[in-house]
Amino acid sequence: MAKKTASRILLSAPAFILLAVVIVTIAAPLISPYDPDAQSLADRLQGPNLVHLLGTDALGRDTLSRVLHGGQFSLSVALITTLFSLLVGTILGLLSALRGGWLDEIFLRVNDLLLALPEIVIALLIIAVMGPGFFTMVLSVGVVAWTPTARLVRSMAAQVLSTHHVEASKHVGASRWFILRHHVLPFVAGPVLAQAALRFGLLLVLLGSLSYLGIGVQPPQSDWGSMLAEAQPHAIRSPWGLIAPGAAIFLVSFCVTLLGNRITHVLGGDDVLDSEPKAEIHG
Amino acid sequence: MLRRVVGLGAAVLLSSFAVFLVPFVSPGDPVRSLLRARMDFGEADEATVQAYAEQFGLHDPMLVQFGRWLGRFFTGDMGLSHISGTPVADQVLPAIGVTLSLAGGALLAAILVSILLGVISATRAGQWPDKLITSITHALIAIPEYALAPLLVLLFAVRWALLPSAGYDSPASLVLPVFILALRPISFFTVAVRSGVRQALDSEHVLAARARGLSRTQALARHVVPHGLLPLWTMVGVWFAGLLGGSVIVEVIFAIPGMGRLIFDAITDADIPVAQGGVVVVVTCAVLVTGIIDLIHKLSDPNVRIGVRHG
Amino acid sequence: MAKELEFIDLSVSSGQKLLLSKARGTLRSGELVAVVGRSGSGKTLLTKAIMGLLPEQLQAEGQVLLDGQRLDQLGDKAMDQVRGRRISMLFQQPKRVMNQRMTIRAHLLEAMGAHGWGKARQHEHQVLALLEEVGLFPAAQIAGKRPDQLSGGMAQRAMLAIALAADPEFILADEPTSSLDSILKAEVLQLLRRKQQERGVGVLFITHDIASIQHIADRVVVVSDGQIVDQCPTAQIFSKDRHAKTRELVDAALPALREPRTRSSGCLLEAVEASKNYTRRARGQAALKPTSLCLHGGQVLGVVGRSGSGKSTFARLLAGLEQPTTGHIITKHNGDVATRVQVIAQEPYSSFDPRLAIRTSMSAAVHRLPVEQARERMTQAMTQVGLPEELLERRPGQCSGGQLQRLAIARALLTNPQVLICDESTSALDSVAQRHILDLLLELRDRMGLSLVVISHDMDVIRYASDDVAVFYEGELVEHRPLNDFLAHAEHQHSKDLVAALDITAAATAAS
Repeated sequence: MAKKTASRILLSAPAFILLAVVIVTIAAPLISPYDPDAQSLADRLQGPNLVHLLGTDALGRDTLSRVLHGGQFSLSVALITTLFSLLVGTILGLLSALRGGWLDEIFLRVNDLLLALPEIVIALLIIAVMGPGFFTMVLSVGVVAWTPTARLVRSMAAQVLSTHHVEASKHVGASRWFILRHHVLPFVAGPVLAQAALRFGLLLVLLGSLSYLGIGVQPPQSDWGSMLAEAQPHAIRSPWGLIAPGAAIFLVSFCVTLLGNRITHVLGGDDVLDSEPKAEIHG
Repeated sequence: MLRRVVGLGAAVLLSSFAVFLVPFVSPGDPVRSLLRARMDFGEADEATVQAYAEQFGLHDPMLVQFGRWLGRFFTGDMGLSHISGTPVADQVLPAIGVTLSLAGGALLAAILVSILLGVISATRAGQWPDKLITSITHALIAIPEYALAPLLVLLFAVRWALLPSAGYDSPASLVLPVFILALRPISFFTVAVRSGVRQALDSEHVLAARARGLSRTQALARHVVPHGLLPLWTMVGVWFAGLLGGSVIVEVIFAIPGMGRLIFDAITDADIPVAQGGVVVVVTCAVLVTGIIDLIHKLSDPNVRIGVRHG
Repeated sequence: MAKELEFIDLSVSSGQKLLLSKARGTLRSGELVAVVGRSGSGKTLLTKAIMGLLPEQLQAEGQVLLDGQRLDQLGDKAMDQVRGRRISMLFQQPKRVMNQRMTIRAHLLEAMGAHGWGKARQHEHQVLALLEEVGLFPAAQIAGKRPDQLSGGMAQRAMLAIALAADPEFILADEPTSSLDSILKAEVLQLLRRKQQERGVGVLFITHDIASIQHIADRVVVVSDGQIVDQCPTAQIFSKDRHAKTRELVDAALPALREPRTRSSGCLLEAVEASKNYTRRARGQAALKPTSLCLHGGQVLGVVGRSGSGKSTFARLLAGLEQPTTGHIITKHNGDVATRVQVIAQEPYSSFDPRLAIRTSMSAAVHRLPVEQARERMTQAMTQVGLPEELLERRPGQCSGGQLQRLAIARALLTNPQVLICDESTSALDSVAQRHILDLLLELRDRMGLSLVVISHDMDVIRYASDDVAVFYEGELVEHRPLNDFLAHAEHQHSKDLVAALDITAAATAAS
């Protein structure tokens, strides 16, 4: 059963595209046609042509190579941040639901408040204090990013734990571990993974915006966000500097979201965007 | 109810405390930082630093200093900008107005568009309008606004000269920023409306209403849509708060003098008082807005009990 | 001038699957026809198909004629004129079906077609007249209330008022009394019959419980597996010549006569002044006043009361699922073995995790045992409840309600209990499944000496199964007597009402 579900999710267009992107990015040093930092002022701001498939930037560097190399930073920082918030969020959410009581209440309040805070402002503050860099990026965004995951995990775990069938299991003598393993985890795993996929896409864009603002990736490294910042002043002459990295971010984010949606559909849900936390009115 | 208010108050206090700590944790001498915030000329000599520390009780426990700082803050004295020397409050207050109107406009646009798209999507579930709208909503959240915005500027401002490329002067100058800011909320809101209306459609309310002789449209308007929109209202509060900060990028790209840009500039210029002032004001607004919307929900329907669900 | 509602070769299908097959029948004004069948027999689809309100996934074929006019060929707009005006509907759960944000008055106005601005005033006297006609007083006050401010019985009456609002010629009633307690059921049935006869309306009454309609229906139609298999005048349903399915439904009705056992062994489980108060209304449970009661070995205690009377709360205290606020629940020991109590809940589908195979869910009871032993125990339990072992590999969604309740009993048996508390365990089942489960429980009591606490709002169930009866009313135990004593000499007013309700919905006495 699980194998069938897994194959239905993984054998799909978005998954293949993502796989291709990942492979290509990892292999960037091997397959990129040019050195991404090699400048050639004679060849500046070209559009796509046979020599430079995606054109060149303001310093004559090959855009395609830069996209491939930049992807390494963009994708890895987004991945680490997503994994970090997934781990922290899941653990905290499960703990809160299992403990219950006032600890749970406090956790919910804290969660509510964190959700109301604008992510990027917090990130800006932390970067101001700690200075830019890879780990600062992960931390500054991660410190708030685990909140929706924790909320989702806690809600779903609490929901399962309050069902009649779990009560029945407990009453016939099921151990805590039995309930966790058979009732809670299967229920929680799917939606959490789907949401993680969605979060990855959103974080990719968010982290890219930090680089765009200059407080993310630092020179000499570059990523898709910083490429966009560099390309902007010259956009009139060659919009391709904007289109290439922009399309890269869009492609990955879109595919990942579609993948998350697919997971949700396969598990019988409606839409992955629907799983974002929000207050509910009980009428 | 009281719990809620206390919770929100705690949020403001905690975040202000975190902001207050910034000069103490960032590189550089905290006393000098603070001094620069109080005087309108550059660096001071050692004697002045010591005198200042004595006079303003900078060796007192942290909490006492925090209390004093906070007190000054809320009476309007946020210190002086490191860069311009002018009072921070004079910069922050107009900026928050700008950002509020930007966020408000985007939210309003998003609500209207998403109701339309969501209802269409729900009533034609499974058919091509639904599939199209669903694909679009998923695509919208994936678009990096810092790529889209310049491209749109290129198109509308440069090539076709329809809209201004930057600034905050005319209504036309707000079109692109509001549009871009509204894209992500539109996605999430549309999905929420769609799922809410779908659920309402499937419910037995509709069956009974039609059995009373109401036509499809009447049943939709009177019974389905009002119920279906409930999830939307609950999201609005959280998103408004999010947009207050999330407008940073848009303000930077379009050179709009809002809070987001103010904070960002302050941070890159190491203008700590302005950054502090900005963040505290933004967080307070975000928390206030969420609280007010909660209050409206509670008042408009006493049967209502707000809990957060996973969706 | 009699009107006729006729359906010819009416079929409903979902893709390839035929849910209702070539149904034919006629309903005349002034007659009440009962359509009886088990859950899933397709009987509900009949009403929706006639009204043209089938969900989108289903397709209908065949003819529906109202006084010779083809309804199935009418467009949506024309059909909107027929719905509510000439044919109206009654539903099973009025509160679920009404709009919680609209007053009763608003519902009535909608049904009268008068839901525009300013029309309310003109029709106010009509609104009040309708409410009074169905026994809702004071009418003016009730008209201004919302559905969740009404009790279950009032809501059902309000729904009848709504159905009568536009003076229809026919009413299609879809299980309107199936979720009501005995007293309410009797009242609503009587009211419906009275109104039907007064106004000369033709009523199509869908139900799974043949006993409930035997005093009000003129004719009975029996549906099984999507087909009409039998029809006859009501008086003839007991005859031996009827179709097998008809006989199955008639036989499922709970007979009045049964020899109650006298108490055999000592007290197993005792409540001593146990009470429960809830600080926050968790799960909508009712509070319980201090109650004392002793449950004996091999005894069947019938616990009856309306919803909110505290009977379920009491059950949860007995089972140890919750702790009493004051007082104690004492579990007696047989040697060093404590009395074990298990619960069979009301909703079969909520008792099992929908994602897990039945075997996994049931293994919760035996997962600490070695694998072989666990398997053996499960096989044994399945035999005890009379189910094939291969059912264990299925998931809850693939089983019927009756099967799931048996599986719940099997799971309970895995723990070797001495007491089984059946909290409305048959209320969600149709009459045939209900009879099977009750018989199984009684058989287990006879064979294994189990004690049973049978909680129900349905007096027929209580009368069939109990040795002793305990009545709960507004959070208090108001009566506790042996069965025959209760039926003949009940003292509390509520008890008397319950016994009286039995006569109105009297179970069929099979003509042997």
